[in-house]
Amino acid sequence: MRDYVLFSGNEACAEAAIYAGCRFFAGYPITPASEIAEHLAKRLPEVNGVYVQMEDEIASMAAVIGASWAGVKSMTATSGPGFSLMQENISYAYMTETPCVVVDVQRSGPSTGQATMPSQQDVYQARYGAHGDYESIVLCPWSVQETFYLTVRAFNLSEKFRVPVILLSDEVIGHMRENFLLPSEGEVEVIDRIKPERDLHFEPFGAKDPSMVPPMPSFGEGYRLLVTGSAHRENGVRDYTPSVHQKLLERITKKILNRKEEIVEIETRYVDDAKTILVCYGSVARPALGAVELARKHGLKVGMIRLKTLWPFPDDEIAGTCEEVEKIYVPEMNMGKIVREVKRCVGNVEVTSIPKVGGVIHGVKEIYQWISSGGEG
Amino acid sequence: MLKVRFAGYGGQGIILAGQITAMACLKDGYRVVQSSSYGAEARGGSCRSDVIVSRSFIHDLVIDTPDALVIMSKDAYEKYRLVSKRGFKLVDNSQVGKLSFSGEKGKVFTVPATLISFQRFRKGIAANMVMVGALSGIIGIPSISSLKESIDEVTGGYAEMNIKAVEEGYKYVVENIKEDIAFHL
Repeated sequence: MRDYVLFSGNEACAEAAIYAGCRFFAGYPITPASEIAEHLAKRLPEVNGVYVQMEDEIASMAAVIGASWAGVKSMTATSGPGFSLMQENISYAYMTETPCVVVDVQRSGPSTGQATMPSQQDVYQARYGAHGDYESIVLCPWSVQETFYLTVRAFNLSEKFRVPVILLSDEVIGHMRENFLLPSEGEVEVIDRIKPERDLHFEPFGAKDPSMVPPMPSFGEGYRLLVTGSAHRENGVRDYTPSVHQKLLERITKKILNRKEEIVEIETRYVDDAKTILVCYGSVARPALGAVELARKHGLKVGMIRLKTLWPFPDDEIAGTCEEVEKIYVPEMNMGKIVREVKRCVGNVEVTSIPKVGGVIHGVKEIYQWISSGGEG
Repeated sequence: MLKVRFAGYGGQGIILAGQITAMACLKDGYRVVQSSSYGAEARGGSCRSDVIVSRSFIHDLVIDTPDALVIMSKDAYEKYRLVSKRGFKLVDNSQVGKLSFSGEKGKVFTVPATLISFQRFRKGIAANMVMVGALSGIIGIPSISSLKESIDEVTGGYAEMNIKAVEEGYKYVVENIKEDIAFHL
């Protein structure tokens, strides 16, 4: 039997990257994400991988994209201020359909904010931070163990859909150490990108496949490979014709939206007879579940929906679960963000935000207080 | 559930103390969550490390009132006042000096950890492990054998000194603190 070890969320993230086949990391240190780089600086050379500390986050993201086109699974990790710097190149990754993983271990902002303290303030930046029109995939772990699974999943989804995937952790989960079991080889599915068949006329941005995700060649394999952030034809050549741009954007958004059910994951607890539901994600889901169980002990019919996938937003899953519900609370470590999305999904159900800033996570009793008082806090 | 807080200043090994304690509790078969809070500076700023030990999945990730409050600096002594109903403070009185607060809530135990570390190893650096050993001596959690194993895994070349420091802390408590407060989780 394998034994539990004491692991932090950041260490679990780094080990998961190795497990998923990541062999290139470029980054710039920043609290509270530095341990991911630190761990990979040790681990990557052991598996013939490459670790580079870049001059900044702009260059880090550029290097990650380059490595991916060289055929290697690649990743970077940062926090709010670094995530801001990466956005231009993340946009480039959306446009060039480059699989890669970007980890944002959220800290309290805006700006330098409270550099060592947690928040969930980047939930919209993870979705809309980059310029232009695209669909993003954002995953949100609530434990050290799940940080491992969702990091592997982030790589899998990025390879499957040829898209950058954001793992949205936070300082609580990243720095917290808890019981962790390292999965053995083969225990967790690992997906690799589909490579083109040997075909001289292959188009790297074509859409013959109904999945709308073209196979991805690497540089040096002999294909005529042109990669540009400008609007491009299926062969990669720049083309500003309105219909070319429209066709491209329809494909890179629909390839995600048409297969949303393969991406969206939620977890529900005590929802069957629930009159009140907490919708939560990330570390705050921990005290939220504590509050749900406390409420149940007091005879209150309270349940919980936890969003493991934050984007694409689980509209249908939330609406479906909340059909018979009278009241919804959304606890989150910000001034109230995802609460807007929840309101959008559930129509006339009363939705109350349980915001929290200051760099401190909610407590169980604090959330319970909101539920038991009917929303007075 | 057992909630432990180590508090002192950056550089004392406060976070390591929490990490070793958490790891040893894990080896004893418990679920643990260890978290920490610190300023932007590497040394000198106030610093704390929390360990929550339980038999089941841990929901609350913050500690309001610890059961065991391990104090290693004067600032921490002044900052952290409250413990839980059954809680106690364990104070390094060679750092804090004379305990100035009257009407302390909860029991207070003192261990001159920094002094012990100086006398035994000619440096104060192992005071954190003296306190870890003292905590184990008072409440029986974590076990000394798991503590030794954890130190071996984490501190590498300094394991020998750290293990001796844990033993010193444990011994001090056995010899000087007669009160028995075994915690049952």
